[in-house]
Amino acid sequence: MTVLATATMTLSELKLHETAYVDSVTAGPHGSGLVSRLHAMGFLPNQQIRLIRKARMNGPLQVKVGSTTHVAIRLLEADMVIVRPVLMPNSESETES
Amino acid sequence: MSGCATCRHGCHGPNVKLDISKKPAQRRVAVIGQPNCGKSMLFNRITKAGAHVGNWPGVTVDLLQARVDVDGITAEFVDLPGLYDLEGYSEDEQVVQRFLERTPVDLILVVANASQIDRQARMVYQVRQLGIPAVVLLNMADEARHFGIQIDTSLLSQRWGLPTFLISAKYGQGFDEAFAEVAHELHETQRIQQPLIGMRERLAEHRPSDQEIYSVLDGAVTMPPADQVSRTDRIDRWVLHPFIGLPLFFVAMALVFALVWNIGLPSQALAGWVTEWMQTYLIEPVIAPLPDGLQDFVLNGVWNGVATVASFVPLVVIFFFCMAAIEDSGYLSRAAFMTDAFMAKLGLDGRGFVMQIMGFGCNVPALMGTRVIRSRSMRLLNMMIIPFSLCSARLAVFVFIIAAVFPSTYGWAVLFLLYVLSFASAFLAALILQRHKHFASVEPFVLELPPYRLPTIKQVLWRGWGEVREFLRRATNFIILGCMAIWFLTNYPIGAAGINTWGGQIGQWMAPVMDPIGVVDAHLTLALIFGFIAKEVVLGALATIYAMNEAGVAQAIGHALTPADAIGFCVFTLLYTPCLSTIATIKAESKSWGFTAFSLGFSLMYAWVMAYAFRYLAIAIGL
Repeated sequence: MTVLATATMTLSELKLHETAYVDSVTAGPHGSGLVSRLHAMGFLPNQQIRLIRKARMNGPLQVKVGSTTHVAIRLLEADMVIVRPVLMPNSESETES
Repeated sequence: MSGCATCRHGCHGPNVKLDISKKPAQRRVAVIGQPNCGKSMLFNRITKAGAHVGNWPGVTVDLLQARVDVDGITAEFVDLPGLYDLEGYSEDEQVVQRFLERTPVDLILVVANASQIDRQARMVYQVRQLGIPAVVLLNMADEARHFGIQIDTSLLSQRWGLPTFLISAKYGQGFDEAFAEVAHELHETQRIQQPLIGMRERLAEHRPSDQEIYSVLDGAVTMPPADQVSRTDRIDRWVLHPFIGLPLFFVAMALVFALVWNIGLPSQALAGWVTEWMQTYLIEPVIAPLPDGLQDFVLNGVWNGVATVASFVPLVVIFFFCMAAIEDSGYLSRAAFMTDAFMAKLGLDGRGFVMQIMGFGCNVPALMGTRVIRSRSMRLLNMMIIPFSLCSARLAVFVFIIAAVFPSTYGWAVLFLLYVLSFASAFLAALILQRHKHFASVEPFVLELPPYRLPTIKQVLWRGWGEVREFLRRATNFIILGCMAIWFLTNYPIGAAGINTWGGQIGQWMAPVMDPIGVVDAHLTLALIFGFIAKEVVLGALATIYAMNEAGVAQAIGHALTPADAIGFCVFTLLYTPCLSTIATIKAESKSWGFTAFSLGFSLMYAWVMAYAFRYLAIAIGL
């Protein structure tokens, strides 16, 4: 059984290769337009996401959203995404397709 | 799995052909969907028109349309820009909103990426809310199958109340069946006369919750486990590697240029041989009865220029095919990811880097691609630097000059350096300009990284051919006129020669400005002046001015220019105004004469300063 943290954090605070579930997307400096864009890209409540890699020089994050979408997102925008990290995953190993 | 429950028309493919008659279309069909859902490829398959396909959000910026005869009904298909939200605020999204609020549409094809239906279902709801007949096409069935995604389309058709099909526009799977339904809808429905006035208000009346939208998928769609490692993930480990990712990108680009150089140059010799044959056996016999002056005009005023440009067509074809393959592969989004941190320091973002690369083909579509940027200041800053991107027309000029002046063994390296210089100049300009408040911006950066896709040969040929046709159209129109004008300037007044002609006088008058940057020959000045029209004209102009064919001009240039002069000439050609089409596009996209004039003036001064600096640098290192 997957165990989630009770406390939320932002996507930008997530550690590399860590998995989390989206809690909500807050309206940042860019207003509701960006919120709906992020929703359309898959940052929907209860969607599973995973931090795949960070670009160098504090560049954008590569986030896997669900099982088939990859999104590049800057740290500033990643701050808008509130997540609950997974404390105990239900499976240990990755499955190859 | 099959959508046959909704396929009342029978499952044979409808009779479809492109309609080129002038009579008004009886039905209008709008194709909408998110970026990267393969919408343009579907459009290509429907219309066989060779619409632009790009694996990059927002690449379809102009409204492509084509009229198709569907079982006796003329339907106009319109490919709308990819959008994330019908209520969105970006320029692309507003283009779609404006289109739907102004143009009556009889049928909407909602295209969604089948493997991303877990997040693309909102648009189906939005379209349903509009009350226009619609067909849902879940595209990229091949990719979905690869991911192991299961979709029950008949269940989805039922729940959505819209006929839904799983198709692959790329390979054709499921397409005939889906299109039969489209044909059926077109024949069944009454023509809609009114556009969707107040569309945004209608959408705002009821915004379904995520719960409402996505619970529909329960039991109908099975997504793979989130920790599944795909082929794309495995490739990304290398391509996006923190240390070798970027070097790998530049090696890949260098390989493309080496390929273009090594295949393009021999093919150019072949093309030169063909045009020479045509001159000897077709043109010369035909014009033989004409008076001498007229013969000279036809041969040197028109034919030489056109033939010179024509000899570069194979090279440009190879180049566009390479670009089409790279664009469709999904690699460019990765380049945006890797370069974003650097581009941020220039007041731009990763998309700006990609637009510079897209400009390598032609600056015009790259300029139109800036529409995906919401902040006006960032968009203008991008539009300032895109004209410094070394487009295919300039490529032809440089290949010609480099081959004439530099030894062929390292010619491709000189060419690659010009590309590096194109990037460096663009970035330096951005660095300078972003300090001004007009170009300072706050723009979010959220970009999809689509899976790697192997472009099919057909797709690359479709794309490449579309671009080549555009190049040829521009080249032939401008070049014939440009060459004729230059012929007059360099042959009149009657009896004058060299610097005594009108053209020579103009060059003489400009000499104090042009000599310091290596444009030491009045004729080269004239060629550059006509290069304002289009850069291909520079080539045609040289052939016309020297009244020789390509090989002859190359020899003459090789004698007239030192390598340092050639560098000055190339740098100036690289950076000053690309062509009239670019200026017109900058005006159309910025909607500002002031900005257009600033862009024009800035690039001229910048080109001069850089050409001056590089020529003296070349002299200093002994070239």
